[in-house]
Amino acid sequence: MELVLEVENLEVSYGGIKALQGISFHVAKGEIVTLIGANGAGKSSTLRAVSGMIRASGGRINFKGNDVTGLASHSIAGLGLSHVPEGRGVFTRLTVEENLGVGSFIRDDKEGIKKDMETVYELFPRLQERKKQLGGSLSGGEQQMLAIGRAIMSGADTLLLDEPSMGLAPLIVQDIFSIIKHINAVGKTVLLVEQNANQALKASHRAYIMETGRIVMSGNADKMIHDPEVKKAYLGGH
Amino acid sequence: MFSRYGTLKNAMCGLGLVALLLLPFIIPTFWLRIFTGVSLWVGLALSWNMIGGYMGYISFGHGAFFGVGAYATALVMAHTPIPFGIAILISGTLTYLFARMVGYLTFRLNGTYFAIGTWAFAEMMRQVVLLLPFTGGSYGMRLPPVVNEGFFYYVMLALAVAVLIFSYFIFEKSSFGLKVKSVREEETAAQTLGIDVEKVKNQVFALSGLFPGVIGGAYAYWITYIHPDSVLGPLIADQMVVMVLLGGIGTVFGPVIGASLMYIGNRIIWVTWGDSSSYLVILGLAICFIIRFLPEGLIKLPIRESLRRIGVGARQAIPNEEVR
Repeated sequence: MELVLEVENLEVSYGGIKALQGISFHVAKGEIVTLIGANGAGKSSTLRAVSGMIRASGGRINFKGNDVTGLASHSIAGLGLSHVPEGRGVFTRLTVEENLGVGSFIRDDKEGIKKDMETVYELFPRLQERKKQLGGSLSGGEQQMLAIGRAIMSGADTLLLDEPSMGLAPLIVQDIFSIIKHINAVGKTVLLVEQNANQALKASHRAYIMETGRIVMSGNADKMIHDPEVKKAYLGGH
Repeated sequence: MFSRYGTLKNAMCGLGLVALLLLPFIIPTFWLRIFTGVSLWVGLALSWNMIGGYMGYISFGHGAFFGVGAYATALVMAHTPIPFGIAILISGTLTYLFARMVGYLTFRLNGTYFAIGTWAFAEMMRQVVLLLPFTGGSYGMRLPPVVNEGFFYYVMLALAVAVLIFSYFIFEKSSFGLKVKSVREEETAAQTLGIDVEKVKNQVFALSGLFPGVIGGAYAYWITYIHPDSVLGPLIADQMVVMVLLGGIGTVFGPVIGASLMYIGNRIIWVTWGDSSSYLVILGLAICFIIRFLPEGLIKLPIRESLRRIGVGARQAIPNEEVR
């Protein structure tokens, strides 16, 4: 098992308040790993610390053999990690095509960019139909697709997805999860943060459960989904 | 690509340029000076638009680049035999480096605080120039007068056209421009896609500080007398901001329209009512009107629809990025 991401004793503080109190987890190549937990458990902070958007106040983050603790986020992106932020972060006044173009600025292999562009349009035919439209004119689901497509265009092999299902209609949520499984099948490693624990566990290989800045449980997703404790706390008790 | 609208637009641009080049032979000196001023303000508005429009950071300190450029050219020409053409380039280089430094300090601030920070910086520069021993302090500086209005008209026109072409190719047609816009739209997303956001912001700020320096230098030689209040006053930056808002922020031609209208309007009021502050009242009302009814500026007026109605550029739907 080749580890892509190894996090040890990660701590993050916001003005003296510890949002992450020393968490450790790992993601292996080709996995989909989910962090689940209630609001304020520290899931998004974990992703932000890993991608360098916020500074860790303690601990170590290792990505593909590089110590990336304290590195600027654009440098971490250069190593092949792309963070799709909560709320998608689509460039609203740029066209779909331009949004995808910005994604590919980080690399200069023309062939690879062309190939990934085809992959993205194959994966999301809606984006191809709308490539001349402004990002802001897309629906929520399409914007999420665009954000994921843009991350693929950056050539990243590891994607951090923060609440990809947030604010989407149930039918679209299904689409998004099948897309996540698909991009995983074609070789992307995924670290996912979700409130929709049920869907997320169904799509993932492994999961970590977070509570107030700590990891309280970890294991295989298919086992967790049947765990009575998890069911009671996160899956609505069915 | 070659819609009738596009051809018409190119033809009109060509005609306009020829007319501008012939202007000194047609109109009296009084009006030529006004058109020299129009070019000056078009250049300044376009420079401000780089940081304010494309980058989305409102700077109230751009007057300082103009003023520092003016003083740099004045000092170089007063103390060395360096000719005007090179002196203004020295001014530009200086304000470029200067903007790098200011950017390094002020980009730690966000939004409103950035605006206040740049304003404070410009105000500081005015005080510094008032106090320094070699700038003449509150006496200002005098340059040897050159009475050749045609020359200055062409210099300012060339500078304005240069900034226009630069803006168009750098911000509308290059991948750098796309990078800049992506940072404006979503800073964090741009960052996670591998864009060094701080670097981009500093580069744009420095570029937008370069041209006002050159233009300021040309202004000093044209007017031959500069004073901290005339080239480093807050009204210079304020006017750049309003001109861009009036014409259309973040567009290539918006600042051109805004600067031309506002400067000509300013001069007409000056001619009719003398040097009074009534201009500022009208300016204030204009700002209210624009923000209320035309928040995207005059460039977003439905001129294209009107043209289509009279039969120009009709038929096929033009892709939305063709005419902006």
